[in-house]
Amino acid sequence: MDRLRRMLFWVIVGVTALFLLLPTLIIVPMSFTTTTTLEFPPVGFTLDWYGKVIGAADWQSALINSLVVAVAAAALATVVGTAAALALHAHRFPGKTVVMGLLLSPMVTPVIVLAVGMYMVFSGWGLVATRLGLVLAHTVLAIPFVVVSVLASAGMVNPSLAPASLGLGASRWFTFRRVTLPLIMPGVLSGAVFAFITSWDEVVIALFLADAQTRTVPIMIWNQVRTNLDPATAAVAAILILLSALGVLLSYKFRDARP
Amino acid sequence: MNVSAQDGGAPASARAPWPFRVPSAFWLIAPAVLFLVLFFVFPLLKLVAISLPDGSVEYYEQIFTTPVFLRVIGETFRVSLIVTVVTVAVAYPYAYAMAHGGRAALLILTVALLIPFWVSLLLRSFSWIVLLQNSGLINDFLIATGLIEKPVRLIRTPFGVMIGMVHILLPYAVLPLYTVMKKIDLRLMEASSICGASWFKGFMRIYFPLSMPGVAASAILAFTLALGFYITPALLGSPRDMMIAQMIAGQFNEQLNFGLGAALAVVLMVLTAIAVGLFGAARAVLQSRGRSKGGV
Amino acid sequence: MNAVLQNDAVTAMKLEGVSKLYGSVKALDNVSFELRKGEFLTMLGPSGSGKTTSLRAIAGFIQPTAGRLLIEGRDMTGVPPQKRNIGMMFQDYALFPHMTVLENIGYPLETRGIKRGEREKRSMEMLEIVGLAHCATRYPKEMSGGQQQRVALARALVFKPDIVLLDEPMAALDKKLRGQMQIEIMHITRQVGATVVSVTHDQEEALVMSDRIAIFKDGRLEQIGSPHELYQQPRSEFVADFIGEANLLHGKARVTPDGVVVEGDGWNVSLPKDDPQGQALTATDKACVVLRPERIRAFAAGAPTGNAGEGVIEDKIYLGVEYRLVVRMNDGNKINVRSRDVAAIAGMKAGDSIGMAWASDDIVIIGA
Repeated sequence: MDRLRRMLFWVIVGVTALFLLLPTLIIVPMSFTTTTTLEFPPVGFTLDWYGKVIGAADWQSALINSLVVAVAAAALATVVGTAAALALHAHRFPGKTVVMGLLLSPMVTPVIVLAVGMYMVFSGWGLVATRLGLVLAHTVLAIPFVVVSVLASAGMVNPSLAPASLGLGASRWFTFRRVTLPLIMPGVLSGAVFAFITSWDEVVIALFLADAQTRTVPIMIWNQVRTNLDPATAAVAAILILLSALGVLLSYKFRDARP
Repeated sequence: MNVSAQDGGAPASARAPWPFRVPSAFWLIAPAVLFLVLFFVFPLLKLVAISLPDGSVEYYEQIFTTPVFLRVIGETFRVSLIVTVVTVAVAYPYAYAMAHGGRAALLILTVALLIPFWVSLLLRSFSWIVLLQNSGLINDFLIATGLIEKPVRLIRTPFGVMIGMVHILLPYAVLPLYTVMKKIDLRLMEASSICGASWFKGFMRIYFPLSMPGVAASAILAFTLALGFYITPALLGSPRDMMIAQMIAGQFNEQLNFGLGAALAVVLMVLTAIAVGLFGAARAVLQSRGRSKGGV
Repeated sequence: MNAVLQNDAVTAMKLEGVSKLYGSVKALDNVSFELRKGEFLTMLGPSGSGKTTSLRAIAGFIQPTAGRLLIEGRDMTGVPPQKRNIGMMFQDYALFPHMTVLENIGYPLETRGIKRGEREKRSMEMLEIVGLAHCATRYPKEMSGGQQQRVALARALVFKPDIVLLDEPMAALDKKLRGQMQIEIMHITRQVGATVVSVTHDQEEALVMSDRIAIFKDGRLEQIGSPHELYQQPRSEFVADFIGEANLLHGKARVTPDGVVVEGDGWNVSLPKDDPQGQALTATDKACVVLRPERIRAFAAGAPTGNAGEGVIEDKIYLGVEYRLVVRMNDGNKINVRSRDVAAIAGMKAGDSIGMAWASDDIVIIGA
């Protein structure tokens, strides 16, 4: 009875793991198929679709847009978010809980609500169909991730280090630059990667804020998926999955790194 | 003690016993707060404003009296609820295996959980389209094993939407469960068995009650996220079974009825806020009832 | 037939050749002993000695690789813990945090289908016995360590099990509380007539609480007996050293007209002809002599020659209740002497040569 229960349990868990992995993994093989429709298992092997995608002008410009926006949003969110996290960690001040709540609320707000809200406001400000508008919007989404990541990292720092540094005669800025910052760097970098990925994959807000010139890769995929489903889309998806995986590895490497 | 000019403009802030000296709190936190107020809070407020033209609640009246809208809100609730129940039910054994299954299991299961978590929602919904279509893998499999003769319509159905949603919500549901389960001492189950209880009784009387905070957190997180889903139902569902998010998008993109769209968005915001509030309340209640590491 | 029945009436548990292998590691090696009804047995030994493995095997959390375990005459092979009618007190108590003290204690009754009213009544009775009747509606985390321990004990006893197991019962308590609880638990279990098996690495705890002690080493049962037997008649160097303090002198045996002499550099032990220990040795046997520190008399001068030794004082330590001398013998070995003879010791100091003497009755010889 006991053994049966144990076996059944692991079967269920195993099936769940497969359920999680399968949809993610089948995309990559499908991108190699020689047929013009998506087949699984793929028929033959070709890298033509990758070539088609990489060579296409519209994909290229979308790629550039995505990259520029993601890097900018990540940079902005990291600077702003790290500063905020440090303040939250080190200081007591009135309204701290409210501020913390504010900083984290983009995470629990439905994206569609953010998208239409920003659309209404940004139209008035002339930020629709600009890269800047998209950067600002994605930064909003990314800030909570950076804050959480840096806070976690800061929580692991030995509390005696800074007083020790000050006691040895270092100035506050010096202490920050040479003692504190290096120690929280894993959290900062990890947060930066999170921010990048958040912007890189974001589609709903982009749909509302971008036009044909400022299209990002996810928008291209969205359009493709709803019109013609062909292996080229799978090729793009495979590339993105690879980049996601890299991003995750990087962020975990940073998180676990001991400075 | 150094008296720095930087302290001049700061509100009186007591230094927490942290680690290091940093320029005063105000300047650090201001950029983030300002940024969010400008580009996050303001847009949300703008929506509320648009939804109440000259203070009139006509759009809300319209929403709560027109069958179409009520159906969509109801449908969103129904789907979110079903998906939440299924997701948490599937997540429970998975989280248990991660928490108590040994180091190798934890590693494998974590990787299996995180890989899809980090692939974008759009791409995952895309792969479900491929899997669910008539010539897709699932139908092929069912036909090959003889369970059906002709392809079954899986795509553009509520079923297809729910499968996709469960897939995307699963990692979110597993993590809070895992966090709570990790802290449950399995010695308690040993104690239960030596007291004469079968595994099942021990589970029902000891383990499951202790895992309740995790179940609650998991369910409310999944439900909150499910309410706002847009991409997945848009790609996998049919226009007939649309969810609130799609309706909002439709009002803005096609109908150009910004006021109504904004009102719907506010409704969704409020529903989400209620769900989040319930989460906080449930967590506070369950935690205060002393559910901590067993024994001591 | 009668003999068998009589045995069953007295024997609560029996281990026959129980072994447990983990790969090639012998956690338990052919362990056999009996447990009598109503007795308090402690399994004592260093960590890794097999005592905890034995306890878990008795509980049913581990299945032996070989051998049998019988409880009340019934073979427990393949029987899961919940069917063994054994009570257990865990090292960190394992109280259910989401249940009140009363509910915790009533749990074993609940699993046996006893209705709520009766359950609460019996649980309250048990609470009275352990002196915590006023804590019935509290939660475990609201109680102190000592109180939690008593609740755990009550939960283990409430359903009148055949055997009660205690897993390092004092480990989670601070030193001061330990001494008090050792006696209290002993009283409680005696009051309810329980048959107890306890596990500990603390020899003092074992001496205080037990009717008999089973000493484990490297998975084997070294020796089992009453505290008195183990202290007075250890059968191995390990046991001699583990229970109480012992000086172990290694020497050679020699037969004389008057008996047997065991001697080393600067000391000797003389056993009279009729001493059974002496009779067991033959000439030139190597033997180990066990001398308890409190059985050695120290002399500044005028030591006898038989059953005596000499050495130089390295340390003289005043412990209030007694003196402790660390004495270096001729062969470099150090022995401990404990004495309450203030007059004799007061004049001595480190560096002095002294003589020591002992009685042949106080000698234990362990064959090499």
